[in-house]
Amino acid sequence: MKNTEKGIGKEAIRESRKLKLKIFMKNKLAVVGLVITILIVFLGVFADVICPEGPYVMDIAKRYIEPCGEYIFGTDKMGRDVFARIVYGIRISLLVGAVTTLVTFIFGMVLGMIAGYFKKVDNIIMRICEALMSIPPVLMAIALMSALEPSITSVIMSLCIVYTPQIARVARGATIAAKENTYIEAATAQGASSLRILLHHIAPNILSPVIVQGTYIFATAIILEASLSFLGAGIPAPAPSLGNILYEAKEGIFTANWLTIYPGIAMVLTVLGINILGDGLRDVLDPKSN
Amino acid sequence: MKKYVGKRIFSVIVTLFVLSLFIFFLTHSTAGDPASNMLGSDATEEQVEQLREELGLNDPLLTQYFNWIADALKGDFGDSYFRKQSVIEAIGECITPTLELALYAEILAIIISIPCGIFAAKKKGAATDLGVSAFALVGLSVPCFIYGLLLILYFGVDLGVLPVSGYKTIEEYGTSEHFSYMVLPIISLALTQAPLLTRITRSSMVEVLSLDYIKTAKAKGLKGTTILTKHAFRNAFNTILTVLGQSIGSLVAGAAVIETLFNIPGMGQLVVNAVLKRDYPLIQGLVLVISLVYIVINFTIDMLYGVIDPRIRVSGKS
Amino acid sequence: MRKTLRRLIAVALTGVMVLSLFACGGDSKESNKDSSVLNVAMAINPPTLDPWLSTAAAVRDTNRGIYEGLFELDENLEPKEQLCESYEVDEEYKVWTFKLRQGVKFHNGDEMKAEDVVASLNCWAENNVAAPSVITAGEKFEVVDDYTVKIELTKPAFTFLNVLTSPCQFAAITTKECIEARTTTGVTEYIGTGPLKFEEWKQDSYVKFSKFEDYQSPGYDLTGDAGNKVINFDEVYYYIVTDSSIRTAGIMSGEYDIAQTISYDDIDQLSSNSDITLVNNLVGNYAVALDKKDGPFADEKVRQAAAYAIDVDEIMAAAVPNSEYVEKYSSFMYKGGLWGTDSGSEYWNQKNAEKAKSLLEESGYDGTSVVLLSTTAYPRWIDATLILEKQLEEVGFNVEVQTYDWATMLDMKKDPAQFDGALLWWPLATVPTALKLNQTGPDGWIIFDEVAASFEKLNASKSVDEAKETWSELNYFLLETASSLPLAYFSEPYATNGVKDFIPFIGMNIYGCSK
Repeated sequence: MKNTEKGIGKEAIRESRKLKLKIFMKNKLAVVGLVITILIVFLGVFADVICPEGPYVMDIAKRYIEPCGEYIFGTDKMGRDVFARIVYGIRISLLVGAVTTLVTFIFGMVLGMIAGYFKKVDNIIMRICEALMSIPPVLMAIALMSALEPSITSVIMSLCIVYTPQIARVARGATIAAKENTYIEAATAQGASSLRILLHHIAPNILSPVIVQGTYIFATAIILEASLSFLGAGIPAPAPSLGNILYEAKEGIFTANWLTIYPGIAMVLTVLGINILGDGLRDVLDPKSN
Repeated sequence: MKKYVGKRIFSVIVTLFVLSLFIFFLTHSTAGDPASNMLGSDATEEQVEQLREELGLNDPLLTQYFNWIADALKGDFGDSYFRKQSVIEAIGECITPTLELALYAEILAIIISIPCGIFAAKKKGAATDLGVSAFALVGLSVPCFIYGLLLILYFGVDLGVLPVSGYKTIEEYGTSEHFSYMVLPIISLALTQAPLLTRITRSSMVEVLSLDYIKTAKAKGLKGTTILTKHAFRNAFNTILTVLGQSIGSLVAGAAVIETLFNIPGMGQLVVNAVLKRDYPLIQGLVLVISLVYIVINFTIDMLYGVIDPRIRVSGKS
Repeated sequence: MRKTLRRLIAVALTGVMVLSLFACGGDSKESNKDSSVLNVAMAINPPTLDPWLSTAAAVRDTNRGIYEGLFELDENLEPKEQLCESYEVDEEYKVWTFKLRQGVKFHNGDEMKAEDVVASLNCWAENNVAAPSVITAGEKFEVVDDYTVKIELTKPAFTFLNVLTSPCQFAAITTKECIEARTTTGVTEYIGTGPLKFEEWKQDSYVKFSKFEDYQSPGYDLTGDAGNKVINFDEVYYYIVTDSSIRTAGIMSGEYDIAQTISYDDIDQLSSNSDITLVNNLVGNYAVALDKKDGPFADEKVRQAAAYAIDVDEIMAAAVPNSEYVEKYSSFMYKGGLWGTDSGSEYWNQKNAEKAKSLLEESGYDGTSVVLLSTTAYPRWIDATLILEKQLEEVGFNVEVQTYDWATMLDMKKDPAQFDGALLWWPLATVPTALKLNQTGPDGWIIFDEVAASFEKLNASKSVDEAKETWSELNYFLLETASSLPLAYFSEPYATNGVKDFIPFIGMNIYGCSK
């Protein structure tokens, strides 16, 4: 399982990549996930092309219009186009998910490797991680948000603080396992620097389990952001995120059910696509897990 | 073994210390303060300042921290600013609805997920399996408040048959009223827990069913049902139990959104309200207690693993 | 395969049975049909029930049944004797003497005496934010005899009774012992002379009252908050239901008999139900407050530009979508009350973008960002603020809206350097001197020597007409200098299900109603 890519020729690597792609494509479900995700990402990325007017255009005279030709998902209490808000909401939710995943990936990886490799700091880093992980994510994020200014950046920061320890723990475990390998002992004996060993030998080896953990974080971060916004502690109005569109929909739930239903479907599709994709990726990277 | 346990206990204490520091300075660095919140939006600055002084909020932060931690070590987590009770009393009052909610939701989740998981495993690759797996995957992608909103929309608004908010105790209002208020929150939470349980049940059953002794049992001509329930499920049960334990934990801690949506006076709503009002002693006490429970559960699990699998002790030493 | 299918069906059936078992419980709402118990859904969670501590309107709303004052507001918003038998004042409005009613009982059975009243009123004077406008520090209420109370003021206070009767932080009367045992976070026991006896406060959930059997009427029928407060129930529950959709659902299902502050969006839904009656409650007025201390709005021309840019109709359509709940008005004092005035209306709701642009150009406004403050606690504030933002941007302002949770906003607004303005609402004021025109915060970034001088003049008035004239001048000044821009008075619907004779008055008021 934990064979190093160093020992294998370049061609072999290419072969193995082809094989992985094959496994992935063979998994029909993963392809479905890929299609959904591409669609959602397309909506999010090209939000300003699809809805050039943006999500903020208000017209009080047009409040609570039912879904129709002009407004396919209807309008909200401010007369804003719900479709536009959903499209931009997807953009913000994806942004939050992607940046959170990336940042936690980098920080978690670095912290985890340091903790796993240098015994002296291991205890300190892991106690801090354990302390952070012992607070339920929603509560922790709410508390963090009350300390930070309400903005997208703050939401991302809070989510990163919530999820970095999880990545760090996985990375640490993998690092400790990788350290046992004889070739690393050999490299140490040859006098290679710690930095070199970490970057060239350990990092490539622990990538798989960390990425597997990362795929979980993408989807859960989107859900956590939505929950935060739904509690009114997330992304501040009027910026749309799938969570706070639903939070605002609660007010008009008796008059305008389209405000709950369409953003709800968008939310589920977004997370579903990423979840399926994540499953597919896990099958490739960690065949044992299935 | 003794050395290992000692080491672990020491690390738990360090973790708690770090946690207490973190949560104290986090709550005290929040914008907004309890004094002006209590006095209302029109209070003058002098009045707010006076109340801050009297609540001890103007002392140096370190002094406040040491006072708090010294009392906490004696089991006194202080008094809530807004509730006329101590933090411990507040927790005692709010823990019942949360525990009830978690318990009911977990039972419903088990009723849904264990049979689904077993049948999916038995018919691995067949339509049943695909259906169950798809259900689980979709279910995993729906945040619990979406279930909540849709249930309110259908049962509360369209049909108008179920109350959509509040909490009634069994003792005062009887079982039927109690449950009529709990149905929608229970379903919302159960539907978020069931997919995960279904998946775990399915995968651990698949693993067990592929083992040699099951094949032997089959070869011996034992009835399918007997194999499934007596041999396979019993073996898969350990894994399922572990996940079950964790999921109850996450239910208790994570019901905040559902409790807020359905207006249930439980722990989750208590924390959310405490944060909104900046009730420092209550936030600190609550987070510390919730985390303590989590840490103790994990510690116990670690210890049990240590007893079962001596290899962990060895790597724990390194 | 077939076997599996059968089992699956069995499992599904079990699930359905369990669910329907739960669902069956849905119809039993015995307790709500009981006509001796009233279930009320309140919209805001009060931070405390201590009447003197907090300025929050939710406090007054929740505890008003427990306590009474010497005076209460009648339906014309004027003070009328409640616990007080009669009063006397000298020509200069400096020495006020109050004769108390005899035989009034507190909930604990003790009779109300002058020492209780003095302790309560001095507590009020120390804490009330409007009290300094009539009482100078050090002046105290004093006991004359068991049923007489007196206060001597150094400055004339024409509006003394109005301030004493102002609804927020109201001058409630409790026992001397309660005041003595009072701590920094309020009284520990809620004892008053009102018709509702405090039973239990289950935090964040409900407040329970019982009927006070020994309630003593002042001897005249209820008018506004004053008079004989009849309670037709043995028990009253005030449930804290902060979510408006939940209040609506609860009133439709009959779970609540009365629900406070129904969302305007739910009005159609509710009025189609014949069991449900909607009643208006006058809340207060929406206003735009501008920071005159620093930032762009320190310049009078820039403020005037903003005032000309404002289209009150559009803003109010966002804040209150149903026009029947809105009364657009160019003053902070209620149109229908004693203090109504039209002065300065030529500066109000002009919707003159051209004039605004030219004023802005004249002022040399350099495009500095103008920060508008808003809070997630009131979604309607945000909605209306967004419209205000749009209107200001259309004439050339560079606007940034910042939204915070309630606690943070309370903190933020202490520092005028952080913000330049806010759209907000003020609760109904019964007298100009109780207006928050002379305080800090976004409500009070209006601190002008002119305001203080005008209030002093108002209190030195010798007649109502003289006082009204002074207020009228001040209102003109506020509008001319665009110091603070009143938009409209607004009310909100309360809903009842099967309750007769329910008339809210400055908030929840259940006297005289029955089911």
